[in-house]
Amino acid sequence: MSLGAKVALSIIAVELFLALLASFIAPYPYDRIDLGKRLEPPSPSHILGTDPLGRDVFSRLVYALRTTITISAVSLGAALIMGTLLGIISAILGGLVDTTLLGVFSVVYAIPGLFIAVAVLLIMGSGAVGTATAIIITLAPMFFRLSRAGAREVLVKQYVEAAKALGASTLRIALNYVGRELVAVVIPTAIYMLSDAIALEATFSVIGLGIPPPTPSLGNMVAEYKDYILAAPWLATIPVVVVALTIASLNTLAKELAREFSIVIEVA
Amino acid sequence: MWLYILKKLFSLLLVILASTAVVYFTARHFPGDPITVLYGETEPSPEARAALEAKLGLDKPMYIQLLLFWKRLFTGDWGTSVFAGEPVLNLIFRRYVNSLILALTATATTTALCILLAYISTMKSFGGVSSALATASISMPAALWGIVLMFALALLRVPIPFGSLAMPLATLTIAGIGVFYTVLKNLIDKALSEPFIGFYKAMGLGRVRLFIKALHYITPVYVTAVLYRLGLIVAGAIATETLFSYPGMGRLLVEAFSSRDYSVLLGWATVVSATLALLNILGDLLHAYIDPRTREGKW
Repeated sequence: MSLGAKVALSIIAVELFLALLASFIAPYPYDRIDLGKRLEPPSPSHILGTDPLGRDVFSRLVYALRTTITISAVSLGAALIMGTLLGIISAILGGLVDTTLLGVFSVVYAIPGLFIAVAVLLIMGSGAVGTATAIIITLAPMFFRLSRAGAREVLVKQYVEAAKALGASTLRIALNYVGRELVAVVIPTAIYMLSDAIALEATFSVIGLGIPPPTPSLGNMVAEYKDYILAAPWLATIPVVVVALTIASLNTLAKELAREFSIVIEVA
Repeated sequence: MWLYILKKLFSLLLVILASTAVVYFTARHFPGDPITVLYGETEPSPEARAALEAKLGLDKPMYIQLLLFWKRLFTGDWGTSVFAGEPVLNLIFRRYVNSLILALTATATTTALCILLAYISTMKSFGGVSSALATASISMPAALWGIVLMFALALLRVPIPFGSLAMPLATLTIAGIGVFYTVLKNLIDKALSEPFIGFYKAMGLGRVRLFIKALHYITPVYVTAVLYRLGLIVAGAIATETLFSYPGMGRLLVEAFSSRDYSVLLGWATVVSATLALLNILGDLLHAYIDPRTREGKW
């Protein structure tokens, strides 16, 4: 493991720790307003200062990590399962099923992901469910393409043919042969895409469609605090730095894993 | 080859029809329509609403409206924007040119910077600088880079030039370097280990000229890779354009959405999906031209 990967892993570990134990770590409730203490710089009682409504920024940050990590991980997981399953099914069944699925996904490709995401958010209303759905729809096609191509490669291998000759069922081939082979490709890519999910959450918030306040998320903290840059420059810098660190760490980890599995991650 | 192009163009047509249908039905499914937006807080009388619906063609069933649009698509009459009051085709053309300028200049500046970074990365003493910069670049989405740029200008007390090319161009360039550099660096590294470079080295060529030879060698592959990603730049510009009020296709989408301007939305979907699909076809053709192994069937 390289030094970079170790640093990245510790950053992610600290963030996970903070997110999991948010309710124990946060010194104040994330939505406790104290108008007497607006825009205070960092001090011992408020280690990251207070925001325009006098809320404790550190408490908000810890809860924001929880919101962002939960939404990104859940929607990434859903996109992974959906995309990969459909990709394997498409490759194994072939024929009409394959053509139909390819057709559906090529329409999804032709419309920019962010457009679909914006449409979904406008229909479902911005909120956790809308944001997650938008992320799933944006990321699932990638997993579909990846696993379909990977599965097709595996299916023509001789050992699969041998298994078929020995009477292995389609399900067995899908799980034991294709599935196992795909793990090495899909897992590093999934970690890479987790950073995409976090980036998407932030982007939605910046254009005003993400998780609505008062629930803090990394994205909506940036969006909420960006107007106070002259009065309190540290305020918006904190979530921006956290987002950048998280994405950089995830990318480093993905690269390290890809090297372990000796695969090449397609940069979208 | 012509058969291949013909086949691709046919699928392009299907994609346009499908994506306009998707966009139209999703657009019609959100609450509100152009009439509620026009009237704002006040409630139109039923007669006024019926008259306007008839005028805008909203009184017919949804699928008939879509079929009518498809018919008009081929006659060049894309309808009139309810709010801008000008023909959709003119409006989209203007915005499209702006987006094209942004996409092309951003690609050019990004490529130029990436070539510079790739050259720096071949130098022993500065090798780490390039990859560090690339890592920094991909660590934030374009929207956040835009905000960071805004901060920088605000702290320097420089007025932010809203509506001009400069800000979205800078944002997209900074955010794009990471991806483009990764692509270019992989290609250059592969090229530099080719035997012909060793031959040039033996001939006594300097580092700069060796780099130029390698660059020349990878250009077609790099162009293909960029073509495939150009569409993503256009799409990624939605947030950037909105942030800096740049009048391109990205912002047009947000405007058309919020005013429920259906004819603009349909035109937008047509143009954008056609562009993305065409870029893909162009990429495929270029790819097949460079690497004959990827050609399908008779060429």
